[in-house]
Amino acid sequence: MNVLDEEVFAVILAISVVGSVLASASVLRPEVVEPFTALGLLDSSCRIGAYPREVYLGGEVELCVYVYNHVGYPILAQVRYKVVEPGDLPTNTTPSKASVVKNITALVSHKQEVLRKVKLPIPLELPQSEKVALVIELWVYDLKTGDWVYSGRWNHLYVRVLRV
Amino acid sequence: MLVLLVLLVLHSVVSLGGDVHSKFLELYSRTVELSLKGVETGEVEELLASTIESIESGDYDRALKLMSEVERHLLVLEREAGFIVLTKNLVKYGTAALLLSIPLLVYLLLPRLYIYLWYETRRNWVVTSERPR
Repeated sequence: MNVLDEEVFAVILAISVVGSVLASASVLRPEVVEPFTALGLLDSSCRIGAYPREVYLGGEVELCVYVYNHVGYPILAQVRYKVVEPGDLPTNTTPSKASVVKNITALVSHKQEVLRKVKLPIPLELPQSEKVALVIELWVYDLKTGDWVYSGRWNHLYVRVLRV
Repeated sequence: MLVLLVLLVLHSVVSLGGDVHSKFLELYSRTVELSLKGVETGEVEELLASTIESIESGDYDRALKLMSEVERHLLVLEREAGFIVLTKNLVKYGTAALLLSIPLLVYLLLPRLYIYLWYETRRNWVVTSERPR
C-alpha cells in the first residue's frame, strides 16, 4: 500500500534539498564578501545638517568625524584634515597635495564605527581665496608595507573664510 | 647646562614616543593576525583603541600600562588560538554537514514517520465486513 503520495514526497524532497543547500552555503560563505570602509563628516551634534558656512581665520570649527570598518579585521584608521582651495580636492585614487593640518587616529573594529567630535583649526596661512574646502581623507595602516595607505575615501565642506 | 638638560629630557621623550609607537604597531599586527584566524579579539581591540587615545594625548605612561595588559591578553589568546580555531571550524563544518544531510534524512525518515502516524491515528479503527443484503 502506498500511503504517501509519490508526487507529494518528491516535492517535499526537492524543497528540503534546495533549503539545505542554501542554508549550508550561508554557513560556509566568507563573513566579508565585499570589504569596505566608510568616512563621514557630520556637524557638531554628530548629525547631517547644521554645517558651518563661515569660519574665522585662526579659529576653530567643531565637527564630527565618522569612520566605519567592514573589512573583516580591525583597522588602524587615520583621518587627515587639510584645508584646500576648491581646485585641489582629492580624488578617489589620489589624496590632496595640501599639507596635513591635523591627524585623528583610531582603531576601528570590524563591523564597528568610530564617531569622534573634533575641533578642526583654521590655519592662518591660507590661500587668498575667500572660499576654501575643509577636507578629511581616510588613510589606513597597511601591515604588509608598514605604512599608511590612502583608502580613496574623502569628504569635504566648503566654507567662507572671514578675515577679521 | 640648562640647555643640555632640556635636550636630554626632549631626547628621552622622543625615544619613549618612538618605542611606544613601534610596540603599539607590533601589538596591532598580532591582534590582526589572531582576528584573521577567527579568534575573538574584541577586548584587546578596546584596549588598543584606548592606547591610541593615550598616545595621541601624550600620556605615554598610561599607554605603556595598557599595552602590557594587551600583551598579557594576546599571550593567552595566542596560546589558545589553535584550539579556538579548531573548535570554530568543527562547529562551522559540522553545522554545514548537518544541514546538507537534511534531504537524506527526509528521504529515509519521512515515509516511515508518515506511515507510523498514519497507523497511529487509525489504531482504534475496527475493520468489519458487511454482508450484502
